[in-house]
Amino acid sequence: MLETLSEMRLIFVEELRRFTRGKGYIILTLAVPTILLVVMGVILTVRAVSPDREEPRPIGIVVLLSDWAAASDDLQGFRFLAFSTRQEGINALTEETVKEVFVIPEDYPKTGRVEWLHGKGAFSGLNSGPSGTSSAAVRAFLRTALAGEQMTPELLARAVVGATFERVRIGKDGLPVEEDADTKVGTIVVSLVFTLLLVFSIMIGAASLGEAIAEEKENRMIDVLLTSVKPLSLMAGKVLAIGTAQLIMITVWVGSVVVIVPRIADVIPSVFEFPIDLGLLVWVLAFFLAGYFVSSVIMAGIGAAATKVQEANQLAFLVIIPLLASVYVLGLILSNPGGGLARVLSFIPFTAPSAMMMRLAVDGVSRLESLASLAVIVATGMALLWVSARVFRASLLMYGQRPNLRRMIRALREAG
Amino acid sequence: MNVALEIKDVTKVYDSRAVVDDVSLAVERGETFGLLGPNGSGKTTTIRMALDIIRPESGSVSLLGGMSTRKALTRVGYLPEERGLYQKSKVIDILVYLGRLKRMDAATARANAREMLQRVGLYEYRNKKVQALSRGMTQLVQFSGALLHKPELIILDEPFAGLDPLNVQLMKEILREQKERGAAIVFSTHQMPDVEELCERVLLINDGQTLLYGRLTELRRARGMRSVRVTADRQPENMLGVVDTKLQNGSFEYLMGEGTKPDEVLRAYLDASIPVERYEIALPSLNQIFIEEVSRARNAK
Repeated sequence: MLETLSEMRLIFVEELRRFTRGKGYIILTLAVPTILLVVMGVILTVRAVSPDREEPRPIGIVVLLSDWAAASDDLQGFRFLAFSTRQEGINALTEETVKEVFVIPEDYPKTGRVEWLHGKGAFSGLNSGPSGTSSAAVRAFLRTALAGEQMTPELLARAVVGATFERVRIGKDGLPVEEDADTKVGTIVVSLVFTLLLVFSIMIGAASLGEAIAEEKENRMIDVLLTSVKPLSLMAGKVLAIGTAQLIMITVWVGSVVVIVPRIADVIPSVFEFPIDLGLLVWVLAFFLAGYFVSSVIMAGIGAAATKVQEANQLAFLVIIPLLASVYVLGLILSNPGGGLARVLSFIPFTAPSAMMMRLAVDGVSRLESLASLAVIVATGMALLWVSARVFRASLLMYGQRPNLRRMIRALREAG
Repeated sequence: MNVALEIKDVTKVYDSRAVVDDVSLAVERGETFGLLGPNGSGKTTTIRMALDIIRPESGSVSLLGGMSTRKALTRVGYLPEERGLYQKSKVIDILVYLGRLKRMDAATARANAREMLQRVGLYEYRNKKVQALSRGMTQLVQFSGALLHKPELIILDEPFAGLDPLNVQLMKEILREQKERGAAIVFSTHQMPDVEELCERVLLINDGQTLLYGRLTELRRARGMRSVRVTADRQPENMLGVVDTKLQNGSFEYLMGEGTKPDEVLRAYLDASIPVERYEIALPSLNQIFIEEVSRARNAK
């Protein structure tokens, strides 16, 4: 066991190093952050040179502490508009004379709680609070106000800690609106993006894994490798390495979206408003990884069975087509996420990752069902890894023969 | 413990045809062994069975005195017939990887890789990608990879194919050094002069069956009594018992039929009063033996 792990580690490190140093991989990985940075650069440039750009709307402030000084109109470059009651602030928000309203309640010095009223704001990603610039402005306002008071230890502590924002979305009628709808949209978008990323990753990463194995078989490098490591270690090391490389790529993409898009949204307010449920995101990520694992293992098996690179590329469609088919039925899942079809698809290893990613986003799937589906996918992946190693061994046993089913079955029996 | 590789009665069947049929051989440490045979005779299959890449239907393989196969394989160097390296990787990186696969630590693998690259004259190419190398250079890199962990058993499948004479010479020198170090070397080839130059013992197979197996000098001597070389101005008109005559480098070479003794050729010269400058019983070349044995086996079918 230890020897197998040691062999796997060797293969994993080398494959990861080789894969991530490829020009194609580097270009693809940096593509998303580069595009986002360029978009941000263009927006900033256009805004900088635009002579008649719209004046940003002020931030509304409602101070309910009786003995506090009124808000100054301008603080560190931010314009504030003070209101004496919460309702006045809400009215200004619905009339769109302010971007958002911060209500500082009487118990603020004790609790640090500040109410954040907003209509439609900016893309906040995983952050459910106000944008970075708004919260910085309000915190600056609070510090200034606190400094004007007679400083007690309580106020000093509050000035250091700052504030926590309580989010309240105000509808056009001036009444609070449930946040769930926004969160759901955000999670659906994330699930859809991950489903497409899964298809894309399999087409790029897993398919190249199959191709690489077939190439090694074609040029007999595999013979040299097999005189040093066991087929199972070789397959597992490769699958993990390519999977990790894809994960790095996706982390860079998602990371750059999370970091850069809110900056863009700060510049162009009211563009997006899709907060994301972090708990669901973890599930979505787990299903993405499990789906990628199963597909990589199947691609590795295809590479192991193929005698030529061309053959491996042709056979790769056996994986990609059912995967694309599962994307086509996403519409059905969205229309009836708790229905029989959605549930069945959630337990077929091929379709389960995308089906579950969508169901999690639109319908509260029970934790038990999610775990069961995940277990089915992972167990299938492990079993297929073992089968792939046997196929690999069997295809070597069949070296020099034209593969057919009878020979393959015989070779599989002998491959142990 | 002196036997580095022992193959006993191995048989491999593809499509109900035995591509290796009951073949046995043993190679000792410090010995260079030639595995000979025409194309498709089963040499590579035998090698692949020896390395546990494929398994025989029957028979057994023992490496390094019966050590467990996985452990023994870390002490075996192998150069396959069809060469392939990762085209986009640097030469030094591939060699370090091959060394690591043989359980060397990274620093030792790197040091040995540099040493091997210096030995084969490719040190300055260490940071080049494989795709930038010529075919011969790539072959030398792969050869280096097979040797850098100082294996106790070296198995080379057609190692000299495609190399220029200088590189062949270099490879032979390195193989002699490995032999002096105590390594057992097994190589397959079609080039009989290479075998005569390097090997003590050989196995000749055809259609998976053993035709000859043994010490090269003994195999040649056993067939040598049928060939005589005479240096003279001319030859007698009647040469009884001679089945074939060749004029080679100013000498007459006679292949005698069954039952004819070498001194009968000399007697024929003396009877014809032809002065003989030189008379020798010629040992046949391995090439002759190869052609003769394989032709005979094919004709017998």
